Amino acid sequence: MNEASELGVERPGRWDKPFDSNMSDEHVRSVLKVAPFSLIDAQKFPKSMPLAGILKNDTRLVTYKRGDLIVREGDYGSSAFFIMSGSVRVVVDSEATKLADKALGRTPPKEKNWKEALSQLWTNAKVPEYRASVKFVGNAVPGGGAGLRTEAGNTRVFLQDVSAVLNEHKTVQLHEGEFFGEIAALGRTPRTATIFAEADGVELLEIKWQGLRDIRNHAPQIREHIDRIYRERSLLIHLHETPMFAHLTNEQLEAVAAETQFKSFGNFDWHASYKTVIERTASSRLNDEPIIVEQGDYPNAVILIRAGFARLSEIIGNGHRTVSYFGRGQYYGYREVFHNWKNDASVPYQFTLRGIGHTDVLIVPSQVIEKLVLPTIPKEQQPWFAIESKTTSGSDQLAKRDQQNRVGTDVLEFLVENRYINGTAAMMINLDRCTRCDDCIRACANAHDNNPKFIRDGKQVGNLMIGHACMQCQDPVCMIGCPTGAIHRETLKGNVVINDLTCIGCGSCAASCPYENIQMVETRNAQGEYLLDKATNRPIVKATKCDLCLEQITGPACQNACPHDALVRIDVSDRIDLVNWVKR
Amino acid sequence: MITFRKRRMIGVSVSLVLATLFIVCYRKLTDNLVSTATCSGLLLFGFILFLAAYNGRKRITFLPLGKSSTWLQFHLYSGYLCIVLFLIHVGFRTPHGGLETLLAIVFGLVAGSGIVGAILSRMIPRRLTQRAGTIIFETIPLLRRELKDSVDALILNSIELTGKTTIADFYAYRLASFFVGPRNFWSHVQGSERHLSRTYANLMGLKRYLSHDELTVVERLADKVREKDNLDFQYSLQLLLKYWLFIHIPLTFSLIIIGLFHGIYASLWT
Repeated sequence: MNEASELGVERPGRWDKPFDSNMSDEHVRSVLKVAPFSLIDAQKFPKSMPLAGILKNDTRLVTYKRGDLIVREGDYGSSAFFIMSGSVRVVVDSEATKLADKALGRTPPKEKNWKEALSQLWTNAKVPEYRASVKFVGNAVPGGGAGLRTEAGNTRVFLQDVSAVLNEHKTVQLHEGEFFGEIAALGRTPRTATIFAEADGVELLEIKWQGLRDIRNHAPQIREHIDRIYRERSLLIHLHETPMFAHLTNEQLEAVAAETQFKSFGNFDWHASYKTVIERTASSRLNDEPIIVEQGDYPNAVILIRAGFARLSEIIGNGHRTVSYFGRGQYYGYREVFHNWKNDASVPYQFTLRGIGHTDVLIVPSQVIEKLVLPTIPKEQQPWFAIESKTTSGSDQLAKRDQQNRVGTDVLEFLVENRYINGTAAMMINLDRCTRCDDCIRACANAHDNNPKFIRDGKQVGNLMIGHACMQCQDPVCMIGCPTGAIHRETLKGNVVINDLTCIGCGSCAASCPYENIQMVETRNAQGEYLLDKATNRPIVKATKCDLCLEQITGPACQNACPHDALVRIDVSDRIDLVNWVKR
Repeated sequence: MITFRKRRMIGVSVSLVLATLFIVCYRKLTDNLVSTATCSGLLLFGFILFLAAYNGRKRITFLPLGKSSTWLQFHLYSGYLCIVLFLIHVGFRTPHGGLETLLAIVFGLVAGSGIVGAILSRMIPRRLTQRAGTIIFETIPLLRRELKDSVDALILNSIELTGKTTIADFYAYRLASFFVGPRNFWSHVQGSERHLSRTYANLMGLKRYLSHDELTVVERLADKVREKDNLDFQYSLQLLLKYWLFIHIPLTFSLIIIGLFHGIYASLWT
């Protein structure tokens, strides 16, 4: 009996740990007095998730001082902001990126020349993880100098000379009652601007994406506001970049945009549960992936992937078999809609499309496609492949699919199940060719001051292994939560890199990386002694990971150093490259 | 992306054409009573220097000197051409004289170790992957120690559990040394599992003296034996892959030194 009672525990709830435990009922009441929160009909929220509950558990009030950076261009964030009091400045000119870089002590990466490259032979450190300096000191450059300060356990980056920034950059003022950061938070896209507090005492309501999503779902005015901003700022660009719409005029594109709906599937924080989810059975994982469209349903829309990933599968026996995967910019349903427009006999969706992790989609109704897109579509844009007959036996389908995929279903399932499809530069190793010589590791160490940045080990499928090297993810969840913006996308090639001087060693990126590709290392001086924190007497740690040899003239050293062509840095979403390499 | 098959075809074809060209030139020149020794010697020595330069390329990884894999392809086919050039240089006859013989032996060893290395580099990775996936070579001693500790604990527990020392005695006399360090190197290289069958047979033979509880221990011990054998397999084959170069590279430099001496000597006396 005792054992039974001990086993009975309370199910963990979403609000067990609030965003900020200091958010009191009094604070919530003060927020509810401000428009647009005062205009929201609280009765429309479910009892299990009241508006006051969302505000108390998924938001926090943060006060900023003059010059404090609130969001930085290019960073990833999982929350939006509402200005309660004061005003903020948005840097909108073309120099904004430079400001963000300069303000954060980020030196724009520069490719080494021959002399600098060769000098690594004698300038590389003799001890592991040597650092000449471990801390960023504001350089006091007008318009660029910044500093770090810690307040209530949070590290803040601030601009030292706000007036100079205001003089040198074009900025826009946002006032009380305005939102910002909501598109980046909900769409998992990089912040598009750098925003800082204009004066002391700017009070912002920071809303976690989950809270924002739920408020958006139940408060039409918030939904309309967010959708309007997205339509104004991003939708037309996204549609324009989609090949299916490339031939449309601006007016037609606007008409498509007007009819397009947005929807999100899955869990935004998928990386937090990744390690437990991956241990479960394939069918159990599949059941948890939200269905976007289902095989056999009437194709009433074309689905465009706006952010995240989706799995395309077909029913085989009692299960589902993965036949493809989609990422940002790809779409599904077009072939079926085209078929039904062209033929009398209609066909249903041929496959099931599921969200993997967190997936944002755009839903373009088939009537819109039939009316605006298909009548004027050039021949080369028409789907050239016919809808397959589903009357063929399962084994025939399997054989046919295998031939098409060529990498084999086992590899495909492996890449999707483990979310390696996220990688734009995954380290793939053909173990049938790898002689385990470790030339790749030596080359990596040579390129990084004698510190290798990856581990030649990882998950395997058949003769393929994905090594523990930063994959330069499309959805870099490691960037979420970095308090100083040390981990960021650099401006030269768009690689995710860590600014060593502003990394405070909090480990947030390493903990967030689902693939265990970021390591925390203890830094040393030239004598090989650990650099110790004066306050705690503990070693100063830094996050480290593969930067794809950004500054080397050779490109990725590991790939160049492999004598047997056993190792490649590959964009997993590029199926043609993948198949060519695997079948080489 | 060029396939390996196509790359191999190109490499072999170009090498065959060049080898034929060398032989035809040699025949033409010797038919006209022109000595080819100096010319073929210099060409051969140049090839050897180029082959040795690959080792330098592997160390200088941060200069854009071409991919290591491209260098290896040139290294392999140039190596085969070197054998042809060597035969031309010695006039397709057996060497005579101390220095010539020494040079020929060293050349033979370098070429032979290179060919063996190329074959090992193609064959062993597949075997490693098929049997036990990937274990990092440097971690094997640690894994071996952990395994040994777990087996020791298993045996001690069995004594406590059963009150008998039958398994412990067997372990002490027959198996303890197996778990201490790497074993059965040549069996693993040859792909033989006879040593494993023999150990299993001994374990099976032991079963007739054991109680039910002891049988469970023996089954777990058999699993540990398999685990250790996998480690030995990885260790043996990875050792071979790593250390054949320790023959090939020093011999290459010996060849360069002796060859240089031979060249100077020949130029002085001819």
